[in-house]
Amino acid sequence: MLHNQLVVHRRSTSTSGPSRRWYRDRISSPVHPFHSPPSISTGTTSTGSFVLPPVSPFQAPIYHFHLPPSAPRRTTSTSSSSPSASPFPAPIHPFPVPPSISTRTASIRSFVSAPASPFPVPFEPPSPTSTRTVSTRPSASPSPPSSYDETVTYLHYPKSSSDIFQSHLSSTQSNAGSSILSSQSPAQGSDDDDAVTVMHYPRTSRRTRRRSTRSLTQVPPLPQPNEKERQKSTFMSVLMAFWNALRTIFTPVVSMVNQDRLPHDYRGRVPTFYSPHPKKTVIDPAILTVIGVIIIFGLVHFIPWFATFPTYKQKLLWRMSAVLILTLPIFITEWLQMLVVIVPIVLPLYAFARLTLIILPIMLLRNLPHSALIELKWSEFFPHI
Amino acid sequence: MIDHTGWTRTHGFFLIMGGFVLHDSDGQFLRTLTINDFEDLQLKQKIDWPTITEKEIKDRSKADVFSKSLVVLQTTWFIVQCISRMALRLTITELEVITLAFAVLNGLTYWLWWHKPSDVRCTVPIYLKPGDLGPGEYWSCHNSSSPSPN
Repeated sequence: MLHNQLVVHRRSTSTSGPSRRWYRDRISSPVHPFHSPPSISTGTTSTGSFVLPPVSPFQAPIYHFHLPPSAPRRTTSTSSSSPSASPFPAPIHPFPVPPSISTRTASIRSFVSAPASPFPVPFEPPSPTSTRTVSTRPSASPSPPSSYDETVTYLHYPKSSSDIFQSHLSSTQSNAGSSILSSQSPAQGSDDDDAVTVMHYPRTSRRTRRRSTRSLTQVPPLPQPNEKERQKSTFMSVLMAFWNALRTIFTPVVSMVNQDRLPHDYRGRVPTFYSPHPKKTVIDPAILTVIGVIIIFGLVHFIPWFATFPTYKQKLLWRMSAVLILTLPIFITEWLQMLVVIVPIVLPLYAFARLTLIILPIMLLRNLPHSALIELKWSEFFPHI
Repeated sequence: MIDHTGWTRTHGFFLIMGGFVLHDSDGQFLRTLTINDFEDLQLKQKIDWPTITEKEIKDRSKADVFSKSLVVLQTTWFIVQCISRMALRLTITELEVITLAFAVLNGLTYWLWWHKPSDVRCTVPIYLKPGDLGPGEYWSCHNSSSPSPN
């Protein structure tokens, strides 16, 4: 534990390696909550173990594959499983090619040293002793097809944040010349102590090779998040917010409909509208009361049935809502609860009527008749006082 | 049979609103008592009849006669005003109409819930009598999956 604290302290005070801010500035977009969590692909091939960096949609294109016009094409593949013409036999690629990338991978144009993910990696980080020893020699790899020269490039990237700490500690302690964290030359710090990933790719034309070599020494800017992906995520978040709002509204409504049910092992506060039905009664007096309340409440809304409304539409709206208010709650009573129609049809209709009967009176306050402003004079009721 | 002596409407409301909770004979909380559950346990002589009085329950209530009467007086005054406006052929706005509907319902609610204690925070424990219990009776939320007989 003391060791870890020491690591954190050294990292926060040192200035040689890229700080957390360095990574944060290069990731321009915030991490969306709906994006898939970063995953790390690991595996072993004949050449040795390899570790793929965390893949997140906004950080994803670590590998830039494209087909340069001068790249040689090979159609003979010995053990290619997919019929889609992969120009290279399988053992050349020790890492699984993502499916979004075209299978016409001929050369690696630019290879970006993957930064550590700013969020914690959701898997258990390896022990520091094992992270140092991941190192493969190109001599251990089987011989590639003879028509291609094998180019082995050592690429350094920290696998997780703990690796940053560990490797940084080791580099500063052993006074190695180049830290693994130095962003300007990721390929130089090829200590055997550090995590090393061996990438094999065939030799291509000279121009491409030069370009790729140049790109190894310079860190290109991180790719921007896909705009389409971002719009999709925004749409999904709006959809989820709408659904949550709907659920917030209709959960108490449904619980009011199911007001007589309480689980056996209930614990805690009883719901507000809980009203159990007594066991041995044929006609529940509660239902009679509810029907009476429905009738009274509905009939009050029929008072302005013949009143003058500013427009005919408002009058129609009021009459419709009054009728709905009077009739719809009958469907919510006990006998008709079995119908499946109630929740999807009756409840939205009832909500519409109630909302209309709240919004419409406030709108109608805009032009009141004169007699609405006359106060009651109670002294008129008692003329002899 | 159930001895109903000493129970009032307040007790009934208190039972329905979950005021009585079932505890073990050792004092461990088992579950909230519903009315049917309470009746079953009482008929099987598993629990004693609660001795809490109406005064004690109303002591836990946060509303008394004064506050309830104030609300009822205000809503009644509004209803009377609306009726007299109608009698005098003065205009009632639609806002007043819907308020009148709620006021009428409010009066009805207060009439029905006059004896109901309001906003009770603490429950009243009822303890099981020590003795053999069937496997169906000793369930709680803690060990509902594996009923352990005593």
